[in-house]
Amino acid sequence: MKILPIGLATAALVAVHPAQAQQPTAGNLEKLSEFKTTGTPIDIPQIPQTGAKAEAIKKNLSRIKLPRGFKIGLYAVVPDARHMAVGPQGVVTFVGTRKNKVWAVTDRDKDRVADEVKEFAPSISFAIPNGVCFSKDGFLFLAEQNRVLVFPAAEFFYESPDVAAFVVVKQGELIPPEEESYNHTARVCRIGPDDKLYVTLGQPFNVFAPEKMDTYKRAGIGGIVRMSREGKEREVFAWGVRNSVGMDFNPKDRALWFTDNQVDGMGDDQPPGELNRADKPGMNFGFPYYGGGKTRTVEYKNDTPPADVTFPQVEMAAHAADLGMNFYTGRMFPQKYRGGIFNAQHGSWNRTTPVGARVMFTSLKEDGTADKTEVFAEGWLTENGEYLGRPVDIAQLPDGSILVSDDFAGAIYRIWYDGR
Amino acid sequence: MMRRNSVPDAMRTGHTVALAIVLLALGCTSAGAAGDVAAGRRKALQCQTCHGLDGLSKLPEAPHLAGQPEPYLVKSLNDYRSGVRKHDMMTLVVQPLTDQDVADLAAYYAAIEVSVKPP
Repeated sequence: MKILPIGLATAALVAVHPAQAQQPTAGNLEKLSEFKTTGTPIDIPQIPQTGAKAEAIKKNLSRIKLPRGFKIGLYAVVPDARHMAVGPQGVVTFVGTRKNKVWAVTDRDKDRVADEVKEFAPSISFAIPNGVCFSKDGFLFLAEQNRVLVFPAAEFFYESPDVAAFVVVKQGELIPPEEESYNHTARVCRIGPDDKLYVTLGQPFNVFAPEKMDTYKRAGIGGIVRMSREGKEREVFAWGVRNSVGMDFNPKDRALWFTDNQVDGMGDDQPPGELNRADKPGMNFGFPYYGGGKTRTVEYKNDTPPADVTFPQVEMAAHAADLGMNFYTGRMFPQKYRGGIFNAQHGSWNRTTPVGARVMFTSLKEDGTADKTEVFAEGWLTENGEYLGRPVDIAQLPDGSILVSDDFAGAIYRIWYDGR
Repeated sequence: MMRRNSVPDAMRTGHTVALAIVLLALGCTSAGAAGDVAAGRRKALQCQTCHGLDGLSKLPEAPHLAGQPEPYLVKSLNDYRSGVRKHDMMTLVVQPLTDQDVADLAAYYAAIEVSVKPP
């Protein structure tokens, strides 16, 4: 049991961390791959959804500004909530973290507020299980720091600590283990329209040294890799990316869009953040020669950049940290939002005046390129520069409302449109 | 609560007095400038995304700072400033800090009261 009540102010926060019944044992994954039980206690502790913490979060939400007709509410209290995958049956939303847990969030009574939040697959030990994504046929993929797993029928098995689980990429084979770092190793994944698995691989430095270039190019570090759903036929899909923590396919023209976080230490107002479009394999997005947009990095200022660099579709606010993104395919929101991109800005970490902590919307032109970008939801950053929350990812529920995860507050919000 | 106000109370215990004397003797406290807790809280806005304004870590790779011994905080920040310690994020963020900033930040984080409950 790991509980560290530190000070009164955090008592509420600490209370939501469930008792850990037992540490997952190595070898459980092998048992689960053979549909054997692991002996993990059947009763999975739940995260309380009411109380002081939930009330405090709701109070903060009253400060959030949205376009007319939109509302925001607390969907679930989920510690360290990062990227989300909504089950195709609409039963469970799976939520990754940058720690060692994956959460299963269930709205049983369909009142659009979660009733149950509990650990997913507690019999398996995870390392930075940040990236979750579903295939259309209901297979949940999980991209960890250096492993990829798949859970067939996750929406069915999640009730038990023992879930059917299989290895897609073995531990230590997503990137060379000697390149593992704590920095920039939160992966995101998507299943493409080609039914292949796409995984972002952030490079671990602010700007990497030239001697890393060949290794990183080969492994797709500082890029996006794709492979079959069985982990075979791996190739580097896109490169020259610093640290992408959000991507989605445009269902209309199948182009892959992704956010990218740009270089630190060049001042408050440069380089810009990025929203990129990859409409074919093999494109180069300019890093480390460019540190964001067309801003050259100091480290590579005397080198000649590749001639075929693709610049971003949208230059976002410098250091705002654009993370998770999602194409809006629902019918609940007004016409202007349909077919556009919602993305979360986590907020700057060391800018003199903080910027970000909001949800952005980008509309597309007929030809599939970016049109206009605007702020959609803001207010998690106070006038004094304090963060009340930091949005991480956007997902869409079957009713056309969207979810926003927040790893600072430890919550998921729901935004819906009622026209009033 | 200003930290300086709480010091005389704490000084009533022999242990604390002894510790304070040892720290002074070792010259561990920041050279000259005394830290200002309120100023430190304002400056801590640049630390909040990783270490929290409450001093509790907000990212898996960042440590808690609440209640951390003040001389240790001063030394850590100065080690990053001088390059003795290196870290992708810390090395960047300490560049604009003055001695006074370091003293204020250390005073603020050290002044956050913590209580713990071992497992």
